[in-house]
Amino acid sequence: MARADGAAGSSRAGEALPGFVEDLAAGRQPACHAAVQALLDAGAAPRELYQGLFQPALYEIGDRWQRGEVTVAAEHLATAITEELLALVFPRALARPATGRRALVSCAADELHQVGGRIVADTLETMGWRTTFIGAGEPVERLAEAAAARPHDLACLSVSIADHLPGAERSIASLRRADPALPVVVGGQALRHGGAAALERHPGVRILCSLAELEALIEGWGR
Amino acid sequence: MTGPAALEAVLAALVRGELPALYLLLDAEDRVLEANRHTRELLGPAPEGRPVAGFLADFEQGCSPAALAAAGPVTRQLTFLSARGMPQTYECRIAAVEGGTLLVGGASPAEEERLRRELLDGHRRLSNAGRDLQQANAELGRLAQLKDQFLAMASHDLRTPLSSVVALAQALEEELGGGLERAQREDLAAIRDAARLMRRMVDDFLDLASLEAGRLELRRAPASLRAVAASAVALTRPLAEARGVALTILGGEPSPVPLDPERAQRVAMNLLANAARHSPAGGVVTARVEAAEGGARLSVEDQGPGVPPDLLPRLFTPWVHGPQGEREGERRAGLGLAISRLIVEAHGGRVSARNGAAGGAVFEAWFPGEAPPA
Repeated sequence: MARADGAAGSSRAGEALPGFVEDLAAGRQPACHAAVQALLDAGAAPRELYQGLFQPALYEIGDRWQRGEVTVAAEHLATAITEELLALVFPRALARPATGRRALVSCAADELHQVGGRIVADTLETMGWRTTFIGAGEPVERLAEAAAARPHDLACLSVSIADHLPGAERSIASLRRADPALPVVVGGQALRHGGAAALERHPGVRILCSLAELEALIEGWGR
Repeated sequence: MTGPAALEAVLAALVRGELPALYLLLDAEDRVLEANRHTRELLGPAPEGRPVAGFLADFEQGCSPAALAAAGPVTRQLTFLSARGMPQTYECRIAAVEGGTLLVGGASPAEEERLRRELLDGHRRLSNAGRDLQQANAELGRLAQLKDQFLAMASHDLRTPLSSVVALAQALEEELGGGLERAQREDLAAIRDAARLMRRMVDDFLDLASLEAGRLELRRAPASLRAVAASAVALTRPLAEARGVALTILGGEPSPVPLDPERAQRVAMNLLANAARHSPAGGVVTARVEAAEGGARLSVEDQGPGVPPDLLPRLFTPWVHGPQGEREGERRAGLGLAISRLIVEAHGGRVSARNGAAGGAVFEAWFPGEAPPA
């Protein structure tokens, strides 16, 4: 999803962001861990960390990779560190009482990156939705199996790079086989640079450009 | 730039170390004569003059590039001990040159890619399993809270009518006792006793819910654990004597410790009643109070069959029963020891159980000499 509008307004996370990006790009896990723990200790809400720290930091690392300033190995290390840090925040995301709604969250087929999907799933948990999360590297049939295994109100797909947009279409097809009426939203860094039109051709598919848009969709759900 | 000139420029860049390729020139004794920048970053500064074998991971530490290339150029994997800490394998072309040996090599991208993929896949699986576990824990926590709320509400609602049954049964016994047949009097007593037992169980549920929710408020004051234990012995004696079990109290008079006497007495009575229930007729239950670790300890020893070893670690958790069934009228929910543990821990103390060297079981409750910080 595109850079979150809420990032600039999250002052504590915003202040920590530049140093966090440098530590993340250099693979300094202990420093990244300390920064997140300090924000949590200061009372930062999960939403502030997702939108004000993790997402903009990962987009910045992605941009550096795109410009050839960091290697793919450094980029993979940064996402692995971020996934560890999400585990620090997740227990607080679970504190809200359940609304009874459930979402199926996954990455597009062929995706190696799951951290965007994780942030989406964890954001939904902060809003009282329960989530079924299917990580990267799973066969596309797992989506259909998960959709058929229990009822879901929504499916969310994350696409990191444009090369994986065809994979997103295969994932949508897999979901449709299990549940033709399931609403699907797609987001991710790939859609910052176009590519939405091909996905929007599919009925019941909506493109979301930021976590804030996802939050607005969820807040208005069922109204 | 023409073809040969362009090739020469690329080779020059390789020799200078501008590309991530290994370049080593060795003398006739396999000592480093020249290394490019990439190789220096790999091996550490100033490798010149040092035997190359010292930089190679090799079971025999005797690898000689000069010997390998003696019969002509060869291609071979060599693993270098990186100054950064991890050994690194290079696919090397080794050739004899005038006065020495030349090594040019590159790392295997396929191997690195495979390693990275395996590590990332493993990390993702672990990370997702951790997330599933966190979700399941939160769900269990919510369910446990619901269970506690239900138990507390149900117990609270049951307590009032049960108290009425006890009171009405007692009133009927007093008012009609003389006019009833023996069998009718026995039935009325059975109603009263059964209602009392149910009320005790309900009280246990309520106490456990309060203790587990951390709502127990202790009224602590310096008190004698010996006096508390003696009072508990007197109150438990009728239950023990009904089973033919004698209660006795030994030990000294340790200094007063901060206690909620009513709650501490409940702990002592639970331990004594538990010991009496698991003692054979004619057995003796011994309570002992002594100073220990800056506080005071109550130990209760019985002459029963002891506790099966697999049960010992779980004895102080709720709903756990010993192997011996209680007599009719004594059946409990299995909460007494759990409640005792929670009360003692709220005091900052600890409970334990073990089997005695000469048979029987020993239960202990230790209370600290100072109240724990709030």
